[in-house]
Amino acid sequence: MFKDPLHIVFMCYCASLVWIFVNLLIPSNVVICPFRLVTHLPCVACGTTTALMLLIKGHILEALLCNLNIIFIVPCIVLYTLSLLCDTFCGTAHTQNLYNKVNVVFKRKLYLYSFFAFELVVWALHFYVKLT
Amino acid sequence: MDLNTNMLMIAYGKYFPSASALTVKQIFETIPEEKKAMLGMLEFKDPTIALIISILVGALGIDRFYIGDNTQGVLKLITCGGFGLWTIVDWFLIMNSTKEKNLQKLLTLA
Repeated sequence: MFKDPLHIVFMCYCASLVWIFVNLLIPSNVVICPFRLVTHLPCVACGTTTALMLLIKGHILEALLCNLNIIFIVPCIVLYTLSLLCDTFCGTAHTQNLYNKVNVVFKRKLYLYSFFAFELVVWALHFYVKLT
Repeated sequence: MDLNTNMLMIAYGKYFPSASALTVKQIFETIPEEKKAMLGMLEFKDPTIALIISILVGALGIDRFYIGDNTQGVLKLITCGGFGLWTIVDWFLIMNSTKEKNLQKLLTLA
């Protein structure tokens, strides 16, 4: 089950949807990040749930300040949902093609290191917001 | 099994799944001499180091980046280690995943 990367992506997608749904119904400050639980420091993805909740309520700027990663998390979720629906009802292989394209992008060092630089900025923003 | 194959199995055996030992042995026996020198350049990843990375900073996806699974590393990073669950699962899977990746690298050489 864990050998096929598409299964892992699908499980993360389902877990994300369940998590967003639970947070919409029962807003809470439960911390699930292992990095934060151990080090008491926010990781790169911390604040994503809050950012998504703010985005759903229409507060775009506050959502971006919470976590910049939603810039590509939201399009990824939308794209993946559409691919999944296409594959289910039309018998296509869009999810596999999408995964392969993303794989090719991240195999190139330029894009990978650009992503890391972006994540460092997001992380620095976490600490800046926490301090101010 | 000749001495060269023996030495290669001793040097590189731990990098590959034990279930594929026969396949690895056959590759080492049939590989041309000029390709044997390229073995060192393939940069096989150490499964033990992958496990240590997974335990320490696995929540940030660094273990997946280490073995070359960049997309999965990115996904793990932006989901807080797959909501913590993937982090724990990878503690048990990462060594085998590393060995499988190393085997794929070796098969490209054969």
